[in-house]
Amino acid sequence: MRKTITLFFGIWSFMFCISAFSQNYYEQLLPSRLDFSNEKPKDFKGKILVLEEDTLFAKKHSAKDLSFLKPSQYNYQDIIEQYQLIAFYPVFTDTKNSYYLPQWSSDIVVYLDPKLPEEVKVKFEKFYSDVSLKNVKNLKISFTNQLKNANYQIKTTEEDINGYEKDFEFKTEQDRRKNMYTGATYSLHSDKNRKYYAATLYINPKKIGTNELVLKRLKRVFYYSLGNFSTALVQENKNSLLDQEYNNSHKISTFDLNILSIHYGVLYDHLVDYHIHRRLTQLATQHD
Amino acid sequence: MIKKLFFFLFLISYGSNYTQVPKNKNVDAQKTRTQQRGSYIPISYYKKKYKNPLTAKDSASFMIRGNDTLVYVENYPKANGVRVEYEYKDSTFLHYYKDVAFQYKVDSLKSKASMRYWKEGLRIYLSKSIFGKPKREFKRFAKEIGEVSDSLKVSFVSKVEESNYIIYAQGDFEYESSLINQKYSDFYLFWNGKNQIYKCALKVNKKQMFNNELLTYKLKELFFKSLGYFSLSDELSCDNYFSNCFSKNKKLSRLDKALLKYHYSYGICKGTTLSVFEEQQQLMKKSLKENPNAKLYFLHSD
Repeated sequence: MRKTITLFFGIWSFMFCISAFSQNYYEQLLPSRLDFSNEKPKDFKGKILVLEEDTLFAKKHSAKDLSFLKPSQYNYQDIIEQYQLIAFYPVFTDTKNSYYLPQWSSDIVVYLDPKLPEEVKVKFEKFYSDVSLKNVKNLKISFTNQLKNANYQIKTTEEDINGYEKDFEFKTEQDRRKNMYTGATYSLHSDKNRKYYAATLYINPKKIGTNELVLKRLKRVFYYSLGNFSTALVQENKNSLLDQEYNNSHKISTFDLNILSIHYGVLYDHLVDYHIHRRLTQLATQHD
Repeated sequence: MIKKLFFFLFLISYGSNYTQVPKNKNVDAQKTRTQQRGSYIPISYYKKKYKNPLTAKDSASFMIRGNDTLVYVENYPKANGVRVEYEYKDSTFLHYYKDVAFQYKVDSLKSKASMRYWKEGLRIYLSKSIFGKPKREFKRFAKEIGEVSDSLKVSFVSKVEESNYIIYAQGDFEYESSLINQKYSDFYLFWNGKNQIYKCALKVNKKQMFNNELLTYKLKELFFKSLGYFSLSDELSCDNYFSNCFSKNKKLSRLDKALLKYHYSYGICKGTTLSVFEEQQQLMKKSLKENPNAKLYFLHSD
């Protein structure tokens, strides 16, 4: 009996050490932002700021759960690598500049232009109100009928808009027409920590064609704007909004949900580039 | 730099001569010196400034301050200006202050980065495009800012020619040529050689900040930054205005107010570079450590 207790205590201590070590390592990589308040927490050991008429105490932040970076959590074995390609693609093409992962830090409240076809509006709202999306931590999408309550507006236009530069070359005219950013684009506004707080998505329904095509395009462009994802997808997956041959399914695919779960697992307090993300992944998986 | 340091030491001696009562001196001696209206200066500085050798009378008046020997000089010329007592802050506070007050683009220029401040009060003109709730909310915020420090006055004017701070929207008359091609909301500051800000133009893009809440947020965020060409911190939680991240719940926190008040306090030297600021803090703290009851001053000549 005593042996069992000793062994149990040993394992518990070991696990506790690992957890404490992981948390310390995370804090070294991405230290929590400090929130100073004049209320002294119980057993306070943190930073103190002495002001003229006040003493402020830094609130302690809870440990970050990085289990969302473990591939074993998902159905796709190489999901983390695929995610990194989608999220950090620019770093592979332009090594001179750092590319930092962007996230929406505030709840997304979408306002749909009344000029959009009714069918498109209804189906789009239904698609992004699906209960499966509610399970994605740190990402909340809702809809409003009033622009004053929104921070994401979807606006129709008759202007000839494209989400790529004028001199961008396509192999064929068909490729150009099929490209997601022909007739649709978005403008995202972020703070210095690459956190989005406002956006406008422009779409030219006349240029795109039928309601079904407009809906498909809108669903895809909106999805990309949730993380300013790149269009580089390594594996064919027609259920995915990230696939150029997306089949316009009625429900968001598990793969796309997984990508969002990885992207929004933690709202990072600091800028996260590809290298930091890889280290976080290693940290999450080393005791898996 | 050497010149600056000498001048700085002089300020310390100047201040201490008239206000400080050293522990090892009796009150009568202090009175006599006050009547003489001279100054203690470092002996090294004395030797450079005066060709006359030190006399026995001079050596009788020596005062030791830390590693320095100070010599008393009668009728020492006084600098014109206003003396303000040094405002002590601990290292944690100064860490955050330096982080936000000295903006630099590349690390190699960090020590040369300067703090910038408004010497005169802000006289804000709001263009007709800023109206309704954003205007009311912004005015409330500006009033709150104006109450933080006596040295930072904020008022509103109805005529653009009376203003030194113009706020307008994309599509309005372009008040500032440097912002004509600016697609995003931004501001442009003007400062003189003393790092005193004297003019600002703030332009918002209402198409991007498409409702009252977003527009109000942007106006407040940019206005706050323009109060000192501040660099925002990545260490503070997003609810602080001195933080570099968005929050729906941003409010002027206790720390924001304390940092802003310190920036506009004349208990620090204004318009200095980071390296000079750090040297001054070091020197002041050293003096206080050696003479805890000493009162140290900054002399502001302009």
